[in-house]
Amino acid sequence: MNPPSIARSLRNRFVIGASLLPPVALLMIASRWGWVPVSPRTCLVVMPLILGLGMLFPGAFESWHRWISRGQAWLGGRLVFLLLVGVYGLVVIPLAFLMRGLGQRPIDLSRSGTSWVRSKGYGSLRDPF
Amino acid sequence: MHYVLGISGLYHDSAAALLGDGRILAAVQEERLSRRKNDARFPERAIQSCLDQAGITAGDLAAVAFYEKPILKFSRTLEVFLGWAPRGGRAFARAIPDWLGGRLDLRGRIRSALPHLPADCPILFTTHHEAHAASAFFPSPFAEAAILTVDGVGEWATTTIARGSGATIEPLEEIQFPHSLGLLYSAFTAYCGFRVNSGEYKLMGLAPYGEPRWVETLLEDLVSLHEDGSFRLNLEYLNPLAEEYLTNERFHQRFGGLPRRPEDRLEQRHLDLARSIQWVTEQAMLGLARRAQKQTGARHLCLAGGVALNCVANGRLLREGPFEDLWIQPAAGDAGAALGAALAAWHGPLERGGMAAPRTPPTSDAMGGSFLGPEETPESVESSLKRWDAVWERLTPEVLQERVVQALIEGKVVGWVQGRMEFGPRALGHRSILGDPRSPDMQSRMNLKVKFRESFRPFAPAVLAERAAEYFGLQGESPYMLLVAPVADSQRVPLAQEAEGLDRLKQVRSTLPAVTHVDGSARVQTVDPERNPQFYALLKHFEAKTGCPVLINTSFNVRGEPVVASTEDAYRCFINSQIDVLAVGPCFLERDRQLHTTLPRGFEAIPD
Repeated sequence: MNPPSIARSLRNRFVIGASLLPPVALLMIASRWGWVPVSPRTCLVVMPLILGLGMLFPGAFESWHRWISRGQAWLGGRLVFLLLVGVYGLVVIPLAFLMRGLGQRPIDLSRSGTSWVRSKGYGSLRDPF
Repeated sequence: MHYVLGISGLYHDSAAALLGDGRILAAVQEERLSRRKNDARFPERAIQSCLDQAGITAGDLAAVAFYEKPILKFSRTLEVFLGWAPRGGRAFARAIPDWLGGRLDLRGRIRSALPHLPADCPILFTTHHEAHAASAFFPSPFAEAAILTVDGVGEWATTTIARGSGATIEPLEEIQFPHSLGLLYSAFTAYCGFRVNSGEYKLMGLAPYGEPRWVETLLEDLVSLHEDGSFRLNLEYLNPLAEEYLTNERFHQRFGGLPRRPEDRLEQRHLDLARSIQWVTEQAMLGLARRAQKQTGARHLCLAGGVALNCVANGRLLREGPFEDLWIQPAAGDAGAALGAALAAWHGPLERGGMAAPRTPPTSDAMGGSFLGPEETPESVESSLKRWDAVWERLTPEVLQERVVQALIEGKVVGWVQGRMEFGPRALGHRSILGDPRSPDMQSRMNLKVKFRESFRPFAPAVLAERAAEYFGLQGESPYMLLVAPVADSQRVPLAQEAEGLDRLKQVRSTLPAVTHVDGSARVQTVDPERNPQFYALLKHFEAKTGCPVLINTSFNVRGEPVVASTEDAYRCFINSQIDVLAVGPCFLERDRQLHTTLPRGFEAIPD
C-alpha cells in the first residue's frame, strides 16, 4: 500500500468516526439541561472512544455515515434556499419596486412596436462579460 | 498545427469540438459518452474524446473558447429577477447557488478540467449567438450569406441577424429576452406534456394530427407578429423563470385546462395546440427570414439555434422564403455552439483576441457529413462483443452489406453502427436503426416494439441523393435530415376518406407508408457517396435488390436514451429492444443466436 492511499484511508476512517459524534454531542447538550441521567463529563469521555470505534471499524458505520451525510446536505441545501429567499424578499423585491418607482424596468414587457434592437457587436473574445 | 478547443455546456447538451488549423477534427456531445440524455454537466468526457481523436493532449492547445459570456449572462439573470419581482423567489434561490458554484469562474473551471493546459493558452469567450452564428456560417459553402440564429435565450439575445462575408461575421440586429420564439415553443412543449429542451421535436411531430384552431387566440393574446419580422410575447400568460412549466394559471384558463402530464392521454386539444404553435412558429420564421434578407441583401441564408432544428419550418423557409438556398448547422442547438465558439476564435479578428485566420468556403460544406465523433477499430469491436459473450460473424464489407440488405428485405429491423459517430441530434447512417419503408406496419412496430416510444412519431427516410426528386418534393439536398418535404405525387396513394386525430396514423398514404407522415410529408435525408460512402453503398445495394432507393433511418437508441456511441452501448440496446440484426463494424449479429435476452441498462433513463 502506498502512502497516499494510507492517507486517504485514514482520512476516510476519520470522517466516518466523526459522523458518529453528533448524537453524542446532542446527548451532552441534553445532559446539561438535565433531560437525561448522564453527566456531560461522561459524554465528553465517550466522544474520543466513539471516534476511535468508528475509525477502527469503518465498515460497520458506513451506512450511518452515508445517511447522516445526506441529511447534512439536505439541511444545508434548505438553509441556503431559505437564506436566498430571504435575500430575495429583503433586497431584490424592494430594489425592484424602487426601480419601477423611478421608471426603470430591466425587461421590456411592452406588447407593441418593433422588438428589433441594433446590435452592439460581440465584444472582445478575451472578456467573459 | 494550431489546435482550438470549443466548449459548450452547463445548461443543456454540453459538447466539445476541436479544430486543427481551422479544419474541424472532432466534435462530440457529452450525453453520448456519459449516457445521460441532454447532459448539461461540464463536458469532460467529450473534451477528452476530441483530444484522443486528434492524438493530442491539452498541452498542445493554442486556445480554448467557451460559447457564452458567463458574467454577462449572470447580470442578465439578476436583471430578469429584478424585472420579474415579486415573482421568482423560488427560482432565484435555486439559480444563485449554481452560479456561485462555478458557472461564473469558467476560466478556473476550464483550467481545473485541463490541468496540462499551458499557462499562456488563452481562454476566450464568445457570446451565445456569436457561437451559433459562427457554427452556421463558417462551415457553410457560402462566401457571403445572411445569418439567422433563433433559440431560447443566450445572454440577452434570443434572435439575431448577422451578415457573413469571407472570414467575418457582422452582427446587425437582435431581439432580446423575454421575447423568444424558442421560449414560446418550449412553453407549449411543456404544456402538452413533453420535456423542455428535448421534447420540442415530439410537438413538431404531433402537429400534423391537429387543426390550427388556436392560431387566432395565440396571435390575439400570446404573441404578436409584426410586419418587420419582429415579434413580442405577452408575459401575462407565461412564467419564464419557472422550472417545470413555463405557463401560468391565466394561460391554462385561456388554452383549455391544466398542463398535460406525460402519462396522460393525448387529447384533440393537444393535437390542435401543437398544430397551432407550429403554424405560428413557421410564420415567425418566414418573417425573420424576410427581415434578414432585407437587412443583408444576401442570396443565401445560414441558420442555427435550437429553433433551426424545426425541420418543418426549415422546409417552408426553403420553399417560400426569400433566399435561393439555405444551409443549416446539423448540430443547430447548443451542442453545435461548441464548434461555433472554436470557429469564432479561429477566424476572429486580432483586436478582439481571435486568431484572424482567413477562410475559403468549401465546395459542399466543412462538416464532413457531421461524422465527427469517435469510432472503434474492428479489433476493439470484437473485444467488446467478446466481453458480453455475444455471438457474431466477422464479414467483409460486401458480405456484410449483402446480409443486412437480405435482412431488411425480410422485414427485419437492423441496428447499423459504422464509422465515426454523428455530431448533432440526428443519426445519419453511422448510429442508426434501419428498416424497409415499404412495409405498412413498420412504423408502429419500430415505435412500439423497438424504440418503445409514442406511436404517433414519424420515421425519416434516407434516400439516394440522385433519386430524391422521384420520391420527395425537395429542392436541392438535405444531407443532415433538417428539411421536411412533401412526398412526391407520383408516390402518393389516394385516400377514400381522411380519418381524424391519431387514427390518421393507420392510413396508408404512399408507396413508402413507414416514412410518410399524416400530412404527406417526410423528414428527408439525402445520401451521397462523398459524405457518407458506406451508407450510400448500403442504399445502392438495397436499391439493386428491390428497386427502392429509400430506407427508414432512425437514431439507434430507445426512449430516454442518448444515441448509442460504442459497441457496448449498441449491444445492450440490441439485446434489450426487438432489433433483429446488429451490424457493428465488420461484425454481424442475429438476435436468435444470442445467449442473452436482457442486459442491465447502460444509460440513465430520462423521463419525457
